[in-house]
Amino acid sequence: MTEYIVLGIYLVGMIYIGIYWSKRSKDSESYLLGGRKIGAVLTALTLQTTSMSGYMFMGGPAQSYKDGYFTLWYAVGDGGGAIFNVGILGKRMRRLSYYMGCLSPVEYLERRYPGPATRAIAGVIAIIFVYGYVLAQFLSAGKTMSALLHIPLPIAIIIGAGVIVFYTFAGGYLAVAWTDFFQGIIMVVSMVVIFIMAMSQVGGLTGLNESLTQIDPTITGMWGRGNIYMGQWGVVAGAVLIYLVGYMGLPHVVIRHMAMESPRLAKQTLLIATVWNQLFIFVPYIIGLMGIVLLPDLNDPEMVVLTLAYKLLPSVLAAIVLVAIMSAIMSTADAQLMLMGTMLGRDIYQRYVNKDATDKQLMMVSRVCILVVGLLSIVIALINPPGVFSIVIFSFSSLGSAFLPSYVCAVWWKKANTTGCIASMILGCATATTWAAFDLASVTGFHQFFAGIIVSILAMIIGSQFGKPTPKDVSDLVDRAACKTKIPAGLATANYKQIAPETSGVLTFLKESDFMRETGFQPV
Amino acid sequence: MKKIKMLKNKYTMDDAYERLMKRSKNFSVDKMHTLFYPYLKINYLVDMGEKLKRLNENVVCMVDMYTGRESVAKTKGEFIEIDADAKLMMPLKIQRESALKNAPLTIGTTIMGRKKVIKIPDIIHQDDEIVYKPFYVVECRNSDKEVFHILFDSVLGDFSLLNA
Amino acid sequence: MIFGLQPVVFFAFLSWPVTYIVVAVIMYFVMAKHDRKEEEWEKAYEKWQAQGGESK
Repeated sequence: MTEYIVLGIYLVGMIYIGIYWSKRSKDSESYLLGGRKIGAVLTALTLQTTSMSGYMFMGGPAQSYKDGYFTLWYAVGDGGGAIFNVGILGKRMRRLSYYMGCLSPVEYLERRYPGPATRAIAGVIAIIFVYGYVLAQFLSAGKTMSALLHIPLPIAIIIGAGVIVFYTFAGGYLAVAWTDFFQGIIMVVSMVVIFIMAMSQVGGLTGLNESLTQIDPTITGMWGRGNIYMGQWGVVAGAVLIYLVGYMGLPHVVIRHMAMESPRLAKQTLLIATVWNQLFIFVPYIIGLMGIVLLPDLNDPEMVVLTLAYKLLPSVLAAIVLVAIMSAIMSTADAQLMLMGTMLGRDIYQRYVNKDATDKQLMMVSRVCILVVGLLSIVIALINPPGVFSIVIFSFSSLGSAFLPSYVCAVWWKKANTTGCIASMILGCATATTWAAFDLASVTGFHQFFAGIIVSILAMIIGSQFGKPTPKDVSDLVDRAACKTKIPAGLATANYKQIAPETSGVLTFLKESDFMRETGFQPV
Repeated sequence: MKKIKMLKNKYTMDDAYERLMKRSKNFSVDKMHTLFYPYLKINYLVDMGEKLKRLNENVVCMVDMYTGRESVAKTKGEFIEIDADAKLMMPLKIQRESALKNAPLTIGTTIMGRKKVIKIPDIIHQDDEIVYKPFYVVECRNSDKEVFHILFDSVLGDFSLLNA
Repeated sequence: MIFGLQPVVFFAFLSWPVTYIVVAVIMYFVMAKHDRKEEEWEKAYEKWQAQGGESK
């Protein structure tokens, strides 16, 4: 009974946040990007909670319960993800997206890599794979709620997914960010409380590791329980890389850089997100390991966190852990649903259907798209056709491989052009998807993300040697986003007017004469 | 080599470098070379007439011999004689006769504005000579190793960009 | 043994949280220094734009 009440309060709270922000989202920039006024703490938490789905409460601990310490390779990569993500993209992407006036991460790619094909290809890839993510998250929300509360799956899906759709539809980006904030607090507090309680039961870290070694020494080894991954450095590299850098290719994650209040906040965001990550990434896997000792006969490893919560905590707190699991799923699903609304409204409707759409129309269309996509996803989740879950296996790697080089090169390599971007998106996505579909990872030892990203990077480098170069106005904006122009601004502002006539005379002379050549200067 | 009369520079190349570096640290200076800019220095006597004799003065007009622009020198200026490489000297594009013909009008306008008298003075040519002002052409590189150029006035210490 | 783990296993998996936080703190200060330079740049750039911007 307690869990129903606690969950009920939580869901009502989320709905309230949606209603609160619905009144305050006055234009498309505030609906789609929070008015670009999102502070450091909010950015950090929404960035990290969006990145981490229910996997951190269920899938992750289940993996470490099954495979032992080897699973922590994912944590090693993930723990540093914010450092790379914010450090590499944060400031520059915020600036460049602002200068180019973009509201969506697909529009951002189109403006940086101008051409009719860019938006179409980026839009198609993003919509397919982000939608796959949305479906998987809704199904996950329903299954979790059904398993935890013992209610029929269809009802669980309608309630869980329904709340997500409502507050996203009503409040837009600000509702998503603020619900993420509260969800993040609930998630990390729950995780830390269980961690502390369970750690005290197993006798600290040393006690835990000694117990695990006694059960099976390979659990505390480098290569997984039973040494099943012995020597597979390709799998290890993929596991580390996928989360260390992969987030930079996810549209629903990188949009958070665009929404930051100011580039100056990037450093606080990086620090807060990194500290949060260490608490929230390593801890779930270690809780899974503690489950091996405390719950040796667990039937469903995905229930290890919740079972420990019920075993170690008072029922109200255990119910809060249940809420935390729902939060983790919802905080990812809402961002992806929001992104769907943004892409369909801004990148499809405003671009191809009604170029003269007013701000109000754009906001309304985005809202309607969120509602339609959300309701359609609930219907599909209710039908639950086979294979829908496998889309999520593709999604992360396919999105990351498709977009990572394009987002990174957008701000770090002026020469990256439209041809490179298109080649990178198509070949990277195709490689990762094919690799996953045919399970080539088990044959080659290379994770699909690893394969996809290598092809994508090569395609960007080689493709950029062909086609039209980056237009000068775009190139100048990239420089400006990096706070540099050809002429250092400090020199440019010191143009003295007194010698202006001589300057024009000298310029003419230098162009017409051999002075520059004879004195060994480059032409002016 | 040719003997020329040059306005004495107040700023050496090292001084120029320091002045540029004060403005920004995000570039480097590759090369610097002197360029001699030609002027026709004309000495005039501004004769205000018998009754306003006390307002008479000697005025120097500098005519830019590349663009033709005239200006009245505010300060006397110190000149020195040097031997200069002809390749570093800008050619004279304006004819001396044309400069001498147009200069008195500029002088007259400036003087009348300054002295606030209604009487049009007589601008009497005293003498003239070609003089040169030393500029530095500076080749720089930004942090991306892209080249750009600056023109530095070694007498005034001003500089401007030489943008193509 | 470190906390009951072989040293190589401990360093491979568990040394990272402290490492990442230290790196994040260092990056905070590095980025703060860049922020100051970038603010000066932005002020100079805006002044330059107001004066007419780049000639080409």
